[in-house]
Amino acid sequence: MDGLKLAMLGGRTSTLGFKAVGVEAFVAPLPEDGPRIWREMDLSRYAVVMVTEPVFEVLEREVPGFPPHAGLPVVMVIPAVTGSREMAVSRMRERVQKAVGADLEK
Amino acid sequence: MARVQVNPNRMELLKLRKRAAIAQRGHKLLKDKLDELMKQFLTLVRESRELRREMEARLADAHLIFAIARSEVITEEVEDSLSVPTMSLEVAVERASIVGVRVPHFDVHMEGDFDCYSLITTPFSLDAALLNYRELVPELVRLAEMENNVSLLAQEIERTRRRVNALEHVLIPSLTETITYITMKLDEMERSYRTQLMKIKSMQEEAAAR
Repeated sequence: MDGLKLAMLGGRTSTLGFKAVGVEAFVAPLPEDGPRIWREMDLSRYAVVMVTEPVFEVLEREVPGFPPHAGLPVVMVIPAVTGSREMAVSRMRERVQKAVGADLEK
Repeated sequence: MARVQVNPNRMELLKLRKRAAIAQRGHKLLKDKLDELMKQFLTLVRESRELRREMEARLADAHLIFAIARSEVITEEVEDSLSVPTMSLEVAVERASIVGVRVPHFDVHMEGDFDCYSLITTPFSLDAALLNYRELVPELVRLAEMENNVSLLAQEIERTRRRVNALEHVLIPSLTETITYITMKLDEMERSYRTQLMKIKSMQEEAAAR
């Protein structure tokens, strides 16, 4: 289980900086390229895959079973260069609502 | 509530009483587990929400500084400079447990430095931007771990709640009802046996008197 890598899937600008610090970058020039790249990735090599919000949105819509619910890699959504759409926050809120049966932020 | 389909006799009654006791005990244990899961879950949700907020702000800053660095030179030049990174990063995965839920724990090991580019052709701000990214990576991995824990705990909470409800609203009532049914049936049988005896006795007495 040791020695897994960190991957990032997103636009060129979003991934470039991370690539320099050792994260394996997969560039999706357009969010619509996301599913193709996701399928080509060898997911067993990664512990965490960071996906930018626009790409995550397309993946969620087009790839069945995305994001994986258990096991590795852990998929994390992060904001792209263009700014945060608060996707992670709203997803978290939904999850809490489902588990607890109430919205805790209200 | 549907009764368990069994023959109304003492043997079954004893078995059912034992099952009901186990179900009660299981229900209590599961309920305690649910309470504890909920407690941990809420703490974790609060922490991960704070970290997420902080990370998004820091990431936006990092992107901004990086964008400034890129704007100072030709875009291709920055991309070329970073095309062969010298820094390597590995994540060791260990197993941890939160209230019996198995969760992964990540440890980030970074090796080397990010200075894989010429200092002459790249702007000074690139260093600052990359330094930001380097600091962000372990924190982002920590956030990924936390959010993953939240989602695993949420699944476990849902599962436990379903089991608690099934015990509380289905199994235990149906067992209780069956137990009452058998007890009443047995009592009824005893009463009918006794009246039979009394009837026979009175008939014998009548016959003797004649």
